[in-house]
Amino acid sequence: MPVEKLRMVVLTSLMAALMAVGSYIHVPIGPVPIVLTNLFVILSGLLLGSHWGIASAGLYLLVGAIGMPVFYGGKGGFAHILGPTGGYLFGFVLCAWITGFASERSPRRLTVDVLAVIIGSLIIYGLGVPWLKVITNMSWSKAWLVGMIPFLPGDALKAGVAIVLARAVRPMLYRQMQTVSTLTPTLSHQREREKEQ
Amino acid sequence: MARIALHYFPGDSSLHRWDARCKFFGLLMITATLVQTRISWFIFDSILLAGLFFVSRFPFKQLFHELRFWAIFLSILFLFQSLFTPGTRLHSLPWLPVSKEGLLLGGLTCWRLGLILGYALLFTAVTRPRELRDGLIWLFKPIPFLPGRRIGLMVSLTLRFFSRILDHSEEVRLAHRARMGDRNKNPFRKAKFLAFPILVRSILEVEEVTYALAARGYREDLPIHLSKIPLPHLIPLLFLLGFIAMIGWFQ
Repeated sequence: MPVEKLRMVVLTSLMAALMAVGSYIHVPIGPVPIVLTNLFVILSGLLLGSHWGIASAGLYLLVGAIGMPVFYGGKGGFAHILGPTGGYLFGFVLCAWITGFASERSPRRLTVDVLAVIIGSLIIYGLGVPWLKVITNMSWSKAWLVGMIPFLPGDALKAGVAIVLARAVRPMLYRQMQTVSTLTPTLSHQREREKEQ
Repeated sequence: MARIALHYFPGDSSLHRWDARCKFFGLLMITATLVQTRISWFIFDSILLAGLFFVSRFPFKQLFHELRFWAIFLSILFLFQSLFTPGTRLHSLPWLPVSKEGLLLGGLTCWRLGLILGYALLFTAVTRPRELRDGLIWLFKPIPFLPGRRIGLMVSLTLRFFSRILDHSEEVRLAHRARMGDRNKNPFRKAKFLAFPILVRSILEVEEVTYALAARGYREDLPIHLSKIPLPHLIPLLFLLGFIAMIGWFQ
């Protein structure tokens, strides 16, 4: 496996671990708590792009499904994914992909990052609130009131922090990627060499 | 933070020798019982956990010393639940702003989380990351077009990074406090001075792990031979299933 790909595999695992750590920093205010997981979901999309971003969110779900205490408040297990907050968990996967996809178009522009983060955050609620409504038999108005409105100010703050962190970390990440690609032969280089031989 | 919590702890106990796939299925069964809210399940899971910890010969003293972080976390959760859950006040202590229902709910939530945490600690302590990876490869083998080996590697790396990030965050927090950084109340500046060093340290570790894997010649196309689960290893799993079915039947 080329080192660049191996590096992305390890980086994806790191982002999944950060999502798990983010779930421990939470405030239980009702059926849906305030957690830092979505900050790292957005960050994974911004840093890794759509392909690896969705992989990191999916990996986070898998680690939780096998029983590790990585969901909010140290919960874990497959049954938790099908609980009231399951929609938000699946929303994370879609959010990472959408954020990554939007951010990939022009990674150095702030407006693109802001737009990507807004769309990504809304996607989480787009999946989470209907799921919450179905599981708990709430009315639509109550589901939006309990499952979305209280989190919007916090989400704006988290989105801001995610953009600040992404813009601070990206140069370092790209520098290391360039170092790796100059030090090690890429797959295309290897193919070219094989053709020459 | 934790130095042995959520890390593999070498040993030669029967739990260490038990097939990782059986341990994995056992963990799944236990987490399924923890979804229930009946006290009898909690008591069964607690007795079983205490017994398994005893069998694993885990160093309790060191573990309890390192579990301060989790204790603080559970205490905050308990406080939140008991203070903000509506219900009847305590008759003996009417001045206390907590409800009976809140205390019960907080206690049960913390008990459940403590059990989930305990089983996760035990599972990671007695299962080598390689065994976990192989177990996942075995599990994903029947599903076509799924890179089982890569997923297995990523899960074991995620668990490793999870405990390492907790270690890093404690070190960075202490360094930040030593520089009086905790006096700054601006959340963006705080995030930059706390989260940024943790991220940078973690990314530097990513480099180390990547080169270590590359140096060991990590490849996904090599055939992997996973042995069948030995029959004696299935017996404890069947016992566990029997116990769970029995408790479920009597309720």
